[in-house]
Amino acid sequence: MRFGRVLVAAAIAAIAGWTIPANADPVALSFWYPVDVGGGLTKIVDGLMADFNKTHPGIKVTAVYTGNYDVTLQKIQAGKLAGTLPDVGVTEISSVPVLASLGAAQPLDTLIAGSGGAKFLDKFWPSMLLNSRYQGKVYGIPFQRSTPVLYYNKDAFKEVGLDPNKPPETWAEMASDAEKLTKRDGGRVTRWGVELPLEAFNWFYYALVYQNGGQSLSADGTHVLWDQPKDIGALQYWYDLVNKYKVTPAYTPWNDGPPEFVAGRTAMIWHSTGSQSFMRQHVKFHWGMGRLPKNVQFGPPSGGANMMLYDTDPAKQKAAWTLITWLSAPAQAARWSAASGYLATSMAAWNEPEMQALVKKHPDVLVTKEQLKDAKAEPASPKYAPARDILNGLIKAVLANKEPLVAGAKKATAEANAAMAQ
Amino acid sequence: MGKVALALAGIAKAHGSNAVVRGLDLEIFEGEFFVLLGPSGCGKTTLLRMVAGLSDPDSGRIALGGSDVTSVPAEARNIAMVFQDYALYPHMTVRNNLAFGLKRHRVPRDQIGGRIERVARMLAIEQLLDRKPHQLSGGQQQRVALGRAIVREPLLFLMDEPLSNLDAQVRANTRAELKELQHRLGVTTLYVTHDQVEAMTLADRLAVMNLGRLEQVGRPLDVYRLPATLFVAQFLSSPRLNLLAGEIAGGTVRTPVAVFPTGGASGPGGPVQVGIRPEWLRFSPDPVAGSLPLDVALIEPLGAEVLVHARWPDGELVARVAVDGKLPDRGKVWIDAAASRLDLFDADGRRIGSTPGDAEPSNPREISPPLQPAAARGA
Amino acid sequence: MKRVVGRILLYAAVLIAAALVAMPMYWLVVSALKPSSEIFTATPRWLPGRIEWRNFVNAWEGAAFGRYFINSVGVTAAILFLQLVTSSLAAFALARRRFVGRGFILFAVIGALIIPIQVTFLANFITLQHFGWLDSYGALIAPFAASAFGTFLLRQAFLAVPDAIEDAARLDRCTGLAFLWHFLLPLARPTVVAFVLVALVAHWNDYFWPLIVTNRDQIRTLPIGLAMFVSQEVTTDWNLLMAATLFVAGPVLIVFFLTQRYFIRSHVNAGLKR
Repeated sequence: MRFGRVLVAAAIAAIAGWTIPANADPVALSFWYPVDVGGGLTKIVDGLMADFNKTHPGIKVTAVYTGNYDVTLQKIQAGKLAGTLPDVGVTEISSVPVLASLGAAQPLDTLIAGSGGAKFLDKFWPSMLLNSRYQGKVYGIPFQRSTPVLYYNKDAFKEVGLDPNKPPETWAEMASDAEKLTKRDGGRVTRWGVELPLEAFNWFYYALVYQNGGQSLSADGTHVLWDQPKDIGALQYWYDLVNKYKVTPAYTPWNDGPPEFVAGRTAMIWHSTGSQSFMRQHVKFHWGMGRLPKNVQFGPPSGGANMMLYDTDPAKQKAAWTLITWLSAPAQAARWSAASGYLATSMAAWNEPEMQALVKKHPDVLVTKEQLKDAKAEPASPKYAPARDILNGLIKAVLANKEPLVAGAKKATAEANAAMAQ
Repeated sequence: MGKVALALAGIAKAHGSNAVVRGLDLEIFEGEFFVLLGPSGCGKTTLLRMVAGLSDPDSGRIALGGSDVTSVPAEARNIAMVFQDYALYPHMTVRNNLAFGLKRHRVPRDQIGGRIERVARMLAIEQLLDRKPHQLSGGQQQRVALGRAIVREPLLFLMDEPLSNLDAQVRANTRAELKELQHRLGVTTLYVTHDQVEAMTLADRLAVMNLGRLEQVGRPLDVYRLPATLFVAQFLSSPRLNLLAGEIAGGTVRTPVAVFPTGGASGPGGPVQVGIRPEWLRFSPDPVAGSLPLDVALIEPLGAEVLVHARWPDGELVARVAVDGKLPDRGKVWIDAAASRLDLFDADGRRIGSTPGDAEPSNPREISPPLQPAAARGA
Repeated sequence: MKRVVGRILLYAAVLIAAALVAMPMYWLVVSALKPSSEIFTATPRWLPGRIEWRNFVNAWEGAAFGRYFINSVGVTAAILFLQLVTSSLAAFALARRRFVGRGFILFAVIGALIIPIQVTFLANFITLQHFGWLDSYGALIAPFAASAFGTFLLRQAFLAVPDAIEDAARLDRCTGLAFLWHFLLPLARPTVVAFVLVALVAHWNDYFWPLIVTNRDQIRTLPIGLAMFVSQEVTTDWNLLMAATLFVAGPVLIVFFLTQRYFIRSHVNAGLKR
């Protein structure tokens, strides 16, 4: 009886296999992603993958949470040595040269050519592709991207006689607005004028250097330029906000920033576009978003993470590329952006219903879109990691008046260049 | 003499280049209380550990109850040992300290309780059974250590200075009890000490050990009366042995302080070492022919006796004297050469002979208790 | 009078120290109970205006905590068991046996103590890959089966046991592993307890290694679930993070609480001369 049933099943399978040969085992793909999922983003990622698997019967994707950006990078580096790489991985944008030079990430130019070549790339915001290339080849496709904006407290602006619909546009305006907005109780500051929180990637330093018309890394990626006049000028402005105008605390940890703004302890703050949903949820006063101010030019830095492909097997590459293109198509880009607060990577995504609804509800988000045309690359090179940490130390020491600005910058530059030359 | 319980033949042991035990032979009889006496560093503890199996001899054989155990590990020799610092198991109650070895020796569980009760009663530690070692006094710990050995009912007890950590009063009491207990149990015992009083009081037989060799083996009083070497005479003397350089000539022993009659003891003439035990030295308040006048420097009362320290230009002599003896408190004394008894040794420290003197120590009870030879007990 | 002042100062110091320890715990619990609207206020609120039990439901549903919990218990228990076995055996040999190369091995153990995990993680990772153990419980447990720290700690404790105890035990027919079991481990109990608690916390909280070697939710552990609540770019939901932290820290706190009396007693005993 049991034998008979097995036989029948085998026969059916054989016939089915013979009649529909295309329906073989699906290609299994793994998708590694670093993102906080507690807020429900895990469900968005799972939902995206479920829809992909449903619409692509020949492919089966498994999404794997891989911790923060640093751990994800280490996991992929170890995976390269042990031969346990994922098929597609989402990593911080400055990791493109690191993983490309390691031979882990694979160049995508052939695949891109098969999907329309330049026409395919032209669908993305140009500034989002600034961190995609290494040695002339494309490795990274934008996925969860962000840029910093200026959040400001409209009620506080009104209170001190500033126009609540006109956030500062230049360094000078921001400094003078911040002076007006700073409230003191005796010697103690009860409300800062503006805060520039610091994270491990030194975002706002790059922002200030770009705004000042400078570069922080040489074009070939071999040495840092922190001792150059424009870089010195950028750090000088930050130093003045802290120590001359006294409108900015010397150090605000990245994650403390938004709560500080929500609690009214700072009237303006630079922070990621990704913090919009948090602000909408918690802020109880009138607030708005503005572009980061310019000095000689607008220069918001790029941030977030790209998708990279790690397969060398053509069949798997094809399947993985299908996943990458599907995720970056306008419909999915809009869905991911609306749910996560990251920027929509595809220009056409802004016409999708999710984005239209968002813009209608929060017209402010257009600021983020407008800013994208000015966005600059994040400094990146295969050996930049130690420089990143040295720069972080320099910023903290200078702002806290523990190190003289020019001499400190010179010393840190020499140190970073030596570390990168190894 | 009964059967040989423990036989050592040609035992030698060195730590590096330092020979600790040098080719030693010894037989101990069943039921015997045998004491190994010697100064610290003489190798007696090393010897004991080799008997226990805790260390291996470099050469020689060890036989226990007639069978060779030289290569039998300690845990299989059925020997129990009492350690100098007791080595009680700190994390176990007294009861478990006693029970542990029985369990490990697979004594049936229903017998263990009875054996512990019996030994505890014997040692009067019944009320301590549920305490931990750190809750006990030194004397109590010592009893428990003894109990742990007794309860095992081994072939042989080894004791490594088990009384040395007790204060004087407790030590004297325990010493007597230990002797009585050993007689009652009849288990062969090898006991190591550097204390000559312990050795004399406890031993059926004893051996005096020096520099890895046995100087002399015998019953305590025999060894006491007829020390085979100057070392033995000195080690068994309390207070210290009076030592003089002398010369035998014409029926006399001539020393710087007196001329003694040999009393027939003969030997080749020439230089000898003269040892006079304090209890066998006689002073006279009146001048004696051939003796120097000595100054009484100090009189130490011991109770029934006194120690008289008398000085001569090159040294001091000590005599142990009964209180009823006639002696001035101060002033001069002379050696009563005819009444004093001498032990004579050659230049290498070997015994030549003795002079007769008055023959008996002034207070034999203090030095040598009534002797019970092993044979007399009919072991 | 002077003594009274001294007492008051002492109690004040103890109270301040206790408050310093208890404060973060209190804040953790209170934050986990607050609705998100009360997390960020201009002045800190010491009591939640409204208790939000849903935080726990939301946090629990934010990651596969049930599965993670079982995995954490199993993995940590396996690690502690293996570490105790290997460390006590190694420490026994190093402390109480003479053999050729003992000094060198001890030196190597001490050397291993100072090597940070960052140095060994690649080698371990590749070794596990060769075994085919990546993404399995073996990858979570095997690299921690031995502990230089435990070996060194237990060796020091075993050294302190007098030789005479070992001799006495030997004459009582207790040698080798039986001596380790009946004497060294019980006599080193304060050290064993301290080591187990330190190792428990370290491995229960380990985040980096499990994240590196696992890809499947079915075998991942609690700290990974916790990390899912900490975001890099976007601001964290603190009330959910605190609630999730209670899932992770709670069991360890309970273990400490349950073993507290015993732990304190073993410390007192350690101070007594035996």
